[in-house]
Amino acid sequence: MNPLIRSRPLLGTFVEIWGVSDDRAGLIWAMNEAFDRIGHVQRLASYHDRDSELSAINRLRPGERVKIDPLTYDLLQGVDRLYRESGGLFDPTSAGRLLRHGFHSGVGELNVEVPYGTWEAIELCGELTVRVHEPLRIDLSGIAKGYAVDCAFDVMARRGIETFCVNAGGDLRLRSPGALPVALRHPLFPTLTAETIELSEGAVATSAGYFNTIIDEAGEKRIPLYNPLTHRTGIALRSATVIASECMIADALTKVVHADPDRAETIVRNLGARYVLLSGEGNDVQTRCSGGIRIAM
Amino acid sequence: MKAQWLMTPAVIVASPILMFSSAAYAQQYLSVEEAQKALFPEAKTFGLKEVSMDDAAKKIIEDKSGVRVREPQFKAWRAESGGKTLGWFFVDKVIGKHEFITYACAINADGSVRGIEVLDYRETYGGEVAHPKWREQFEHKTLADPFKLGKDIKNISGGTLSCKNITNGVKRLLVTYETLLK
Repeated sequence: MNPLIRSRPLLGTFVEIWGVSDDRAGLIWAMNEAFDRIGHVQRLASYHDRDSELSAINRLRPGERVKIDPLTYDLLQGVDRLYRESGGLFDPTSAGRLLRHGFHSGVGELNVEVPYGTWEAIELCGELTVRVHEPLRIDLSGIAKGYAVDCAFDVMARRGIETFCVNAGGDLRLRSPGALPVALRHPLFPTLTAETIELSEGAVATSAGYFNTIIDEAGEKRIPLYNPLTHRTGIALRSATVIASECMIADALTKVVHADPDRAETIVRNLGARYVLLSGEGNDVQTRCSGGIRIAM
Repeated sequence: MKAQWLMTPAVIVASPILMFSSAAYAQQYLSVEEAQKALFPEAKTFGLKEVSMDDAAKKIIEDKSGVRVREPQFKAWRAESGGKTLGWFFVDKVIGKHEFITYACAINADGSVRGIEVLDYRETYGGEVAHPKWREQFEHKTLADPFKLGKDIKNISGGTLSCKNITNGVKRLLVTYETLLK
């Protein structure tokens, strides 16, 4: 039985879904629905689209509230959980503060630096309604892609597909009756792999920022991953990979690992996840990982 | 569990990419016929029209879309059901980082985009490979252990391939549709 692989340009990248099924027509239908769901999440949660629900929230004045789509609300609940579990290390309200660090962020009237609140300033009021207590600039790009993958995964699972993978430009979630190899590889050659782990059900996400770097006042190369507690941007030449049950969790935790690898240790473990952090110095690559991931060197 | 630091004499410092790799999975996206059905499930027939645009039409399309027309000849299919035109189905190519991306674009009769489906894109490189600095690092290096060669890569985690070229291609197709087919 050959797998069917499809690809659509979504979320600013190429989203690939592959799956195996006796019923090829049914598989195509399931994938249609899964892609549509990703497109829906994209329309709701895009920071750069002024018609998105997220932009509507970012325009709210203190005390104002807005009713949102169940998917957006569900995503915000996920953010809230990760914000709390990470002790504030994952906080998607940093977008406005990244402007101060020289990274372009936002469009139109939202591309202006004003004092913004942290995630504490948003209130999920129930009944699909949110209220803000301070002006907010929420950028969900650190989690929405993972969330979109989970949504597509749910569609495929609900349609009864037993072996499949949804991969949104690097954030992926798969299900398979038997374990499948996931290999850690060097990016310079697409065919170069370092080590493999086995996964039959779960999600993998990687964050690195090599090509969106700036040099800070201290002459160091930084990337637009922001530590909300220290107000420092991320260190370039580092890449964080997280393996978790859900892609949303994996996606968000890569930012936590970037922000503070020492603190991330416990946070990642508490969420049942594992991580691999690779950083480079000179000609060496340092690998740091949670127990449970075997890296042979 | 305690984290461990390991040192490795790796080839170079680079962004690691996680990928799923299995030789059992050959990369093949939808065929043209399957993409037609996926994008216009309610269509009964797809009538092929081969169009060849003259220089004047080419110029209009380029001016309006701001995108260069590489192929003055193209194929389009009219998706129909019960004598009613549902829209048009195009197969088009744009250049990725290294190779062509073949994709299908379905346009509704009112000129709006119904859907896009990638049909062929064998490029497994991340966008970063084209970055000169990135390549520079790699020159004069050898593929020493511990890296292994693998083939038939399917899922790449950490890659950031841009789909911007398809966006431009779609812009060109929308103007082509308005100019020559509507």
